[in-house]
Amino acid sequence: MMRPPLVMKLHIIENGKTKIRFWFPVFIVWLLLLVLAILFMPLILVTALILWPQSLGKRILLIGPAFFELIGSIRGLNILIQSPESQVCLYFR
Amino acid sequence: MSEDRRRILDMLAQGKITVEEADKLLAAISDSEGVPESQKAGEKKAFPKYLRVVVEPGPESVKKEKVNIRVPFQLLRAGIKLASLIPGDAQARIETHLKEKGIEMDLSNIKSDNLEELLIHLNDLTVDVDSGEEKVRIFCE
Repeated sequence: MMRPPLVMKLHIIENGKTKIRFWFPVFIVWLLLLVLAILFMPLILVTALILWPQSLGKRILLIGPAFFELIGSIRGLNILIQSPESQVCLYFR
Repeated sequence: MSEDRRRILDMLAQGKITVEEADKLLAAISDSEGVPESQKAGEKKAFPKYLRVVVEPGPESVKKEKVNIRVPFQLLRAGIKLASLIPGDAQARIETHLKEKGIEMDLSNIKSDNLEELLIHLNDLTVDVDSGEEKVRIFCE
């Protein structure tokens, strides 16, 4: 089962001191996106119907679920960059 | 030590079998033990979960920077699925730009079925590049 990430953590250390420790609850963004998707659903459906003869309608309908699958798969993404003076760490949990 | 091996060695110690016979029996056991249990049962190999890219400074490096990236394969799968929804003319434009950068790639040929096949083979793959300035390792886990 796909579990979208709930938090994003960004940690920047410079010369041994923490410069930025950013903790962001990304689930708020997912909820906002879901609300927006529901709000715009009628408009998306109408656009898809209009563009159906040009074979774009199906793509428009499939982009939404594919996008949600993409954001749901970010959990586990880790990026760590280290140099002698600084360290940048970004991860999604 | 397996039970069979112990039994053979016991028989040898008791003088019930000769050294040559024990050797033959032990060799026969090693052959059958050489095959992993998963292969014996005909199980499929597990898919790797993450693609790891590790860049480390080499002995001639000036920057001394380390990069460690872990990308979930699920994310790659989802990205390919999303890319397959890009309209044909936009895909052609992307391919042209990629070609200008020296990357030749036909996006329409990348399908999620191909990716599954690729993932099975990627499990055992490790790419090591050592240029003196940097060491790059790409592997799956």
